[in-house]
Amino acid sequence: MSQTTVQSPQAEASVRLEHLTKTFPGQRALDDVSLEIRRGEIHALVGQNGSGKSTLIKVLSGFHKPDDGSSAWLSGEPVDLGGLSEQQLASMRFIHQDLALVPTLSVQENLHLASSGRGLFAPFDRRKERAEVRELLKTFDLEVDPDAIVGELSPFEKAAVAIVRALGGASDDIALLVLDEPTAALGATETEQLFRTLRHINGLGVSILYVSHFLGEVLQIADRISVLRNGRNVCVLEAEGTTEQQLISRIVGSDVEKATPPTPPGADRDVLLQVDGLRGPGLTDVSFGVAAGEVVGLTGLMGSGYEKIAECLAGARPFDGGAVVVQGVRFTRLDPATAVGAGMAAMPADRRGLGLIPTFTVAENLVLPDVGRNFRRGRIDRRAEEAEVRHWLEVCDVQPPDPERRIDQLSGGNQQKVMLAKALRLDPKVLVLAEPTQAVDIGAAASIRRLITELAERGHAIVVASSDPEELEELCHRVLVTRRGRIACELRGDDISEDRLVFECQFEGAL
Amino acid sequence: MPQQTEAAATAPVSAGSPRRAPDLGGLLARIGPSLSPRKISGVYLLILLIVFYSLATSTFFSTTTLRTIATEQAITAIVAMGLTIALAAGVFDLSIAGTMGLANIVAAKLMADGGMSPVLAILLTLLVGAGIGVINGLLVTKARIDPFIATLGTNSILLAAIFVVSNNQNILGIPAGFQKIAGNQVAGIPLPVFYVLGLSLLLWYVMACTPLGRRLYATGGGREVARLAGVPTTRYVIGAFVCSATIASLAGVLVVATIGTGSTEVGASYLLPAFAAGFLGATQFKPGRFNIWGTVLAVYLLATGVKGLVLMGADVWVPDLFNGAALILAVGLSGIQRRAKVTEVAPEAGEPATLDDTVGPSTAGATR
Repeated sequence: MSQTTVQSPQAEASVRLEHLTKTFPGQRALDDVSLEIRRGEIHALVGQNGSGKSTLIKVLSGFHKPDDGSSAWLSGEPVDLGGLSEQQLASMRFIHQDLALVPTLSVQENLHLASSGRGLFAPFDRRKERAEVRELLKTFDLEVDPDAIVGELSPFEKAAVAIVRALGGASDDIALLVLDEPTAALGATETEQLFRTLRHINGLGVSILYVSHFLGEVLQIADRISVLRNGRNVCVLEAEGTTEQQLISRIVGSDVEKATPPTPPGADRDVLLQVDGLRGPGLTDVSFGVAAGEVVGLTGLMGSGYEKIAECLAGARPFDGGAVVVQGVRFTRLDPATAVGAGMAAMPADRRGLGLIPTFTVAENLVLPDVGRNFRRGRIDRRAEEAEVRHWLEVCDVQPPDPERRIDQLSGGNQQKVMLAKALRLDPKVLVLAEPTQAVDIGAAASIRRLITELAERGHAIVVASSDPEELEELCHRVLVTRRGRIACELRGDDISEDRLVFECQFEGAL
Repeated sequence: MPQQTEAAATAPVSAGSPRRAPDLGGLLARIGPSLSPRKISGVYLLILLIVFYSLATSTFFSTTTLRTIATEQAITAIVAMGLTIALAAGVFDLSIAGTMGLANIVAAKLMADGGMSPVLAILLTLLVGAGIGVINGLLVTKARIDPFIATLGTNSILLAAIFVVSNNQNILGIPAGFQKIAGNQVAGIPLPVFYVLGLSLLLWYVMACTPLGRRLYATGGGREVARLAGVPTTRYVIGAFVCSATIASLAGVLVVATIGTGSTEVGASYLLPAFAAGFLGATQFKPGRFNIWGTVLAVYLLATGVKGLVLMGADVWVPDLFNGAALILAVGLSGIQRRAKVTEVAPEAGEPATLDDTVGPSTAGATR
């Protein structure tokens, strides 16, 4: 694209980005991306995790400085994204997924947190302020009590308060409102309410950049949709006339090479793990079995239940009803020690909170679940322990293979391998692996996956709970997709493909 | 790739190197790292202090002074060791002061007014201490109250109990035979020094050499991680409180024997030195971990520092200043140690390690 075409100020564009590139050490997060948000439109930004959406937002908000050669215009004015003025920054408002409200303060107090505009000790007229807030809420067509405590509001009301706070009274000067996954915490009716509010704001002349995973909702609310994949522009689509299926194929890309599906184990294998009508907060009647030699994937959108199933199996989360049968033994409640005793070991997704103790060495972490194993003649036999640990570090290819190093001095990939080693050391027949390759570089991810495949070939029953469709496609014989706490569908063999998985996770037709 | 667990069986054979004649170079290489100033800076500092005070004053370097320090600090060392167990389990125990005070009164009362035999009185007192520990433990694990707040509360309740039990009167008439457990000497060394030695050996063994100790540290390092690894963390936390309180009441009993009365004023003055020693100790021997030898070293290091200053004519407020500054310095120091360690390895670690920055080994770990 030549420079001359973009030099003419485009009055209708609220924000315009050209040749936007952002490189981090060892990784290009955004590669020559262009984005145009027309004045008065609702523009959606979609793409998979890691496609560059959040980097783009952070560049817009001035958090990341883009590489040289990127150019940007705000309301037709050329600007330098690396050094935006206060006023330019103020013309874009951001609402992040966590909303950044203070839950213990009232609506009114939240709205006035930053913008009291008075001295620190200047007295204020509570009554007058309340009237102002009421007026402000009315302009957004909202009925929220200014005195209500934010923590007690419904998820929609919280989102609305965050929006009102972001916009303040001055919707005229605002070029763009950016919303990042605003409906993640909302139910269907609340999403409708939020859309009504967004359309109302849009009607006041505010352009909106809407970032979301929920494609059905995106098609409902947006005028146009930009798709990112691997840090590059794929296309800009008109929402009208686009189907969810078309959108997904653009998000996933047709250039995905099909991994060879793993050969399924024979049908006569023993079922080592049977989950039977599991119920609990966020889980409804979950049942499935896993046979020896089989890798079964669990996936879904964040919060849809698949991650909770893995936690229940690890003994980390109590369940209200149903049972877990491990090698024929039936458990109606499961704590970590009984799970291990029954021959089931787990690798949690939360490395920091559940997986590893940061102040411990590699060896101390690795042997923790059965630290008594090397206790002889009244003390822990360090030499035996070290030899055992070295063996497991070799099996799982941990670098450096140093048992005495503190675990937090290893890279994420190697920490992940230590967690796997810790589980394998317990000699389990059933393995429950949650996000086994999250935040891990490509090399480490490949070696972890190779290990998982080998373990299955050796007759382990393996559950992989993952949000990474590529990983599931590569590893699993079957994949169960959860939606709203239930297993919504099961894919086998050739049906397990990246676009099919993305579709099944995000499909909302049934609701 | 072998993946069963034969490794454990074959390990000792492959790892046990054939015995060689002692060679000095190898020996140095093996123990060298543990003599590094990074690990035992406190030992070098202690030596330095002793040399300095010996030269600066005429009275410091004498058996009397050394004996005084050893004896006076035995009680602090004992309380601090108990506290170290609680800190290792990741909880604060501020009630050790009140526990000590109440134990002191209860033991005195049982012997002086109740006419009970010393052995029985000591056992009963320790039982009271253990009970206080159980209450602390239940408050923290079952009622889920932050340990800092819970033990701050129980401490105040214990102060009230001291008042009620003693009727705010010091208790006199302690049997002379009982006082011998603190006053007697063996080979010129006062008995309390042996108590410190015995207790530290016992606690070191349990905390450093047994699975129980490892699980205790795991509970303190990451309670959920430990729980998922099958550690009954609730029991470990309660157990840690029980140990800390029982040992504090043992110290309270020793105070009665030392001063010969049940005093209503005992306890509070030991709280800060115990915490200072615990945190300063966590920078020694095994940096980043509360450990018994570190605690004991820190107690004597602080005491030597204070004693020397007093002999040089320092005012009465100096010990408080010294201990307070040491506590702050120790916590600051462990933070620096931690950060230095991370940057030291960052280049070869490839991608940034993600575990460290929020969970500190000695300070942050002990807050919940």
